[in-house]
Amino acid sequence: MSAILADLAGGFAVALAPEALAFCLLGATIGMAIGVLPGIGALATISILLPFTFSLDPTHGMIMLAGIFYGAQYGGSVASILLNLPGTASTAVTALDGYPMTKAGRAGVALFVTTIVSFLGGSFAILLMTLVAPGVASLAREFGSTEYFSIMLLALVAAATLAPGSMLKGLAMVAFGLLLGTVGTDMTTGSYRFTFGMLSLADGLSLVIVVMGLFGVAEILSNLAGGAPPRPTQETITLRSMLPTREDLRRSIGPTWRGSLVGVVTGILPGLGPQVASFVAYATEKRLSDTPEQFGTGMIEGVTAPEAANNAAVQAAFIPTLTLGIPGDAVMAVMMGALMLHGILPGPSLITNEPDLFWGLVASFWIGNVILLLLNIPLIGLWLNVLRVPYRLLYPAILALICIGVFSLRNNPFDIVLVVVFGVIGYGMGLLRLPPAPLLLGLVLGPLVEEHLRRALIIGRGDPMVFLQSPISLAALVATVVLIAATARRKPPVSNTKTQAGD
Amino acid sequence: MQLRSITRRCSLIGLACAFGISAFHAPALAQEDYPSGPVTILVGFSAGSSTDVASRLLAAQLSEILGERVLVENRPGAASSIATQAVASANADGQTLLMATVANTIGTALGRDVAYDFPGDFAPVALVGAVPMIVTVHPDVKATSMEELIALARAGEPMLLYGSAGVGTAPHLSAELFASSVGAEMTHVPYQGSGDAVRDLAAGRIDLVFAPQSSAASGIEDGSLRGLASTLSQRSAMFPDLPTVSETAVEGFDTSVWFGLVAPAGTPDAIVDALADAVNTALETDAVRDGMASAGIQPLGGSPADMASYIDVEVGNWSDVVEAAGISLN
Repeated sequence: MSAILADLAGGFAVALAPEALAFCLLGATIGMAIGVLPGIGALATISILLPFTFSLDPTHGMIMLAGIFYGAQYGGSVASILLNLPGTASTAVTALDGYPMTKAGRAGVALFVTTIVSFLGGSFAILLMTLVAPGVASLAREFGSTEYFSIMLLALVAAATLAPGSMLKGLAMVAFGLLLGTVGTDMTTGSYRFTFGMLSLADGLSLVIVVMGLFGVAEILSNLAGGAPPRPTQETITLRSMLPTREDLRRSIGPTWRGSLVGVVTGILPGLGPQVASFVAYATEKRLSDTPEQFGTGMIEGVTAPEAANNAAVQAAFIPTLTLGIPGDAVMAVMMGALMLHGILPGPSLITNEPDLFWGLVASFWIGNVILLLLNIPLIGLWLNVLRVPYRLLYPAILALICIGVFSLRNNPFDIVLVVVFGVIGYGMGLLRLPPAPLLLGLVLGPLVEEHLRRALIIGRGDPMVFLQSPISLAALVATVVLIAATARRKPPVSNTKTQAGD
Repeated sequence: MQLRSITRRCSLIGLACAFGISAFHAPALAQEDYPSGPVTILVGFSAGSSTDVASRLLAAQLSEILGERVLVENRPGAASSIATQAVASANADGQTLLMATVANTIGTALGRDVAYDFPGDFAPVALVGAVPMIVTVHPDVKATSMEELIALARAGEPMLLYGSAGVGTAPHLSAELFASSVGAEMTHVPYQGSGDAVRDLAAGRIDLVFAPQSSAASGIEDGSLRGLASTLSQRSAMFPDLPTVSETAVEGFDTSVWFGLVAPAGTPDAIVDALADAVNTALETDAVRDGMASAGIQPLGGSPADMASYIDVEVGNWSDVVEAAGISLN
């Protein structure tokens, strides 16, 4: 323990040096800004800024790039809550209850609580990273395709009833999402599926594009078609109007810790990332709630859990990247590339070989999160003013940002067409009252389930029993069966009365 | 397109005459006239990939040598086909270039349905660099040399599982080439990239990976993986003690994740030559050498003709592998 404290003290000495502090502030601020802007995500920004870090000290470069990554999670929820336009894909779930809170005039509270739980979720993961990084990292090695498949299946079943409203429509949208997830290159054979001869579809549908279309463009289209909705007026923005009530706080405690835990686990496991973390955290709260039917109407739990989870997940994602050399997602892969350019090999020896870098980075996470907390609270008042901007100015600006953001993913104009297509689909779904969130879930988890199922079977030489031989996989499958059984028994009260009425 | 490049060449000669410059100095002239604005190098892979790293290191030096900004634009997707397509239809004036890679020659061998012809629609400029793959096994695999690995692979009890970065990638086809050369059969386990494959290898779920050394290096150094041989015809600069596959098992074995600069077909020879000179000069600078070395990239260089014949040999070799392994995408 004292060794850890000494290491951490060394890390703070590195991270508190004026130059390091400046890069931390810069990274966190850029991250927060791009998080707020719909469409422009951390991956594109980090890729663009990567070349500038070549000439920097590697620790400073990493501090800045990391700041962008976790800063974006803070900013991402702002547009989700205020405008139903997720700033980043991982905050799409936050809109489910955050936007209804705005409609009810509680936007200030939602933003305030989000900032606090983002800080708590992030801090929880950093604490874990400080104390047990190497031990936790080796946990990731226990997870192969067999375990991933069963856990993804559990996540899919658990979250299938994510959306408010009709269960049937929700499940139909999960299925639609699963179908959209099959677009792209078949991993096992290399052939193209449902690309219709378009090379731009060969790598599948990007989650960012689908999110920006279904939420962002569709929201704007439906407001244009149906006339602008009555604007939530926020006449006086005082600190009092932002402060959550005692009841809000009481209800937020459980979701915050559970969300942080979900975030840490999904962050450590490569390939899942903050999107899956926020989905699973939301679904967990809905499952545990006494009033699941009220989710989607502005429940504070529906905002705190996913926000704690996605912030915990981005911090925890550094654990396998740095200590095992396993990048969990595309952003981490770019960071690892940046380290290798400086001749630093991420892996189990990194902590001993490059203590300044590792502990400096960990210390900078603490500092960065405090900076973001201090930066965000005064900004809440400013963000609320966004609601006062007339639609005729706001919507063109948002559309332009979405186009820029989507284009910046891979400099491909086709992606702009695609985001418009998904905007139209999302508008149609809105008319039919089909919820978009389950579709995203299918799109995120479907390809993962397929990939790991097929790989587990290849490695198991075709024997399906492999899923029962691994204890982790077996436990997840049993939990899946129990969950399905419980769902089948506990009929939602609404449909119960309907069947009775039908009898 | 053809006509435009001819008129352009005529105007170059006309210009040369007008200024009384001997035609023998065509490359020097091209350098005065070219580049006529920022030069863009399209990269078909995302930021942080080996191809991207090499392109950015090179672009920084080319900017100084050519006296014009040289930009790198990532246009990832469809195993670099999207970037390749874009350069195939760009103006043949040397302002838009492609960092071609092993993925292009494999794509041709696989017969992917694309709207361009590689290498037919391109004018090779110069090879840039190559990342050798390391034949990497899990420490529990009972093979400490290529001979022992071949014996295991031939016995096939059970059949060895090899991971790769995906169907039709250099690690996949290199393993297939190895297997068919030694008369063995192995089971392919595709991943979403070499990093994922190496992770499962370190956990012992699969037996071996032909892993680009940039992906395998940390595992080999900390002992969680065992390297047996490298795949280029010369030894790896990162692992000089490892023999090559060619030395130990399959004579003439020479595969890698390579990349080199190409221009659209019809680009004036003067511009291609000037670019090739600039690339070779850049490859000699310390900045490029050191940067590539730490990323596990071995510099190549050479003339446009060298690259053209390299590509021809590659396309031929990969076509043989695809046929021998019976890989069909359709």
